[in-house]
Amino acid sequence: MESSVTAPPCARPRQALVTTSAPVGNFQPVVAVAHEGLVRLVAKGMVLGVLDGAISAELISCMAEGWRYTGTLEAIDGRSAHVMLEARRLL
Amino acid sequence: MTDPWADEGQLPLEARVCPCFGRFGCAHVGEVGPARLSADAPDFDSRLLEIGGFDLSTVRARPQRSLVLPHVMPVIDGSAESFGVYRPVVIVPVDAVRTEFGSRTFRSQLSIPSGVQLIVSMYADDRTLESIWNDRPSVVSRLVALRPAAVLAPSYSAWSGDPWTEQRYALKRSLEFYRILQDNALPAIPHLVWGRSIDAADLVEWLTNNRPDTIATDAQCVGPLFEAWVRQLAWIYERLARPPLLVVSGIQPGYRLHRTIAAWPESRFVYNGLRLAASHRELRLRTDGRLRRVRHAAHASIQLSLPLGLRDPDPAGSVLYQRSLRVFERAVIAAGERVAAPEVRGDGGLGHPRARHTRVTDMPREPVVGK
Repeated sequence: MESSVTAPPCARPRQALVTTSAPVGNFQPVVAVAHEGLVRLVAKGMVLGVLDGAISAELISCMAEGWRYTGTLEAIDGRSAHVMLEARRLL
Repeated sequence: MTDPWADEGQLPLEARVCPCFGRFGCAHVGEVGPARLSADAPDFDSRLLEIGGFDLSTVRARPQRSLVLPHVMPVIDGSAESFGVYRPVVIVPVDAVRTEFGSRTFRSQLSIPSGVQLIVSMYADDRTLESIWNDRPSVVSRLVALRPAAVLAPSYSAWSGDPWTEQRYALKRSLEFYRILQDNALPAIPHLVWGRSIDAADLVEWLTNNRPDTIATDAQCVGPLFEAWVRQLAWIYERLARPPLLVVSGIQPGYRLHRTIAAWPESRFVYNGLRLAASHRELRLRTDGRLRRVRHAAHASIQLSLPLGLRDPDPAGSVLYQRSLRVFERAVIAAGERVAAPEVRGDGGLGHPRARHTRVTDMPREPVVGK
């Protein structure tokens, strides 16, 4: 019988579409942090975007397990961007 | 009663100063706090990432064995003053845990009997706490090897004049450390610090959702802000349906002890009289029940060479520490009895908060007219 090792759900990378609060450049590094119940994407102390409720709740739940998310914003236009988030565990 | 948050608007000060104003025993670094969270600092993003942001919901308390704590737990640090001073539970500063003892175990180095339970407190000066944060994998592995009964999460400084983000960072980082301790199977006690009413309200929500059995707070540097602090502590208490045990550090015997127990009757106290004993002083109970500090005139070796006819020769520091600890224990018990006594006070100040509530609701709505 073949067995496979799969990554825990919190370790999966995520992609999402976000509305940005400021023009962003391609591959702008961001960190994902929880604030007021939603996950915000922060770069150099500024909030550049907010993830929607469903993915925020999922990520906040994973953060309680010690997972943290960093990634890059890739601009679509001046108002929206794709975000690619990578997971890692912090001690 | 005065609104406990009435002074909140006045909190920002011109300068960052420790409210203890350099009071004896305060180890906080006032001028150059190394753990500042500033949005214009290059490490802002990484610091914010480490703690998962400002929401407290990214930390969930996990079930752990309940702690049975005595009313007073002395600090044992391996110094001569603390030698032989034991209680069922003792507090060990994290500095002592980080010290290398070669092949000897921590317990044998400090001659702590096996029946004595250890609680490690991460209360230290800001620079030490910062180095612990940066070196947390190694500190956590040392703690795991020590197998303490519990670890008190760090007390990061929250200055009264700081921006909200820095106060919140201190609160959240301590909770994050609590999560790390629990993740490593260490029984842990979350540390409560708050700067503004929003933080206290969020703490109430977190405590309600997570229901830890025991929490802790540190009043070492509360200083002249004590009245506001203790009112805010009572504010938190009154909003909890099931208040946990509160381990309080840095409370002086006397009025502050009484006020703290009145605000949070389920309090347990850390007694650290090591410096008092090292400076040849001890607590004494006066005949009127109040406490005083007695300074012994000189060290025994000096008395031998200078026969001044002193009636009270200077005992060893450990003896002074033992005596002061017993006095502090009696003061805690006496203060608890006074708070629990069903005495209705006109000043509205002291008395068990729940008893106060009961008395108010039990009052008849209509005046009772005699038959």
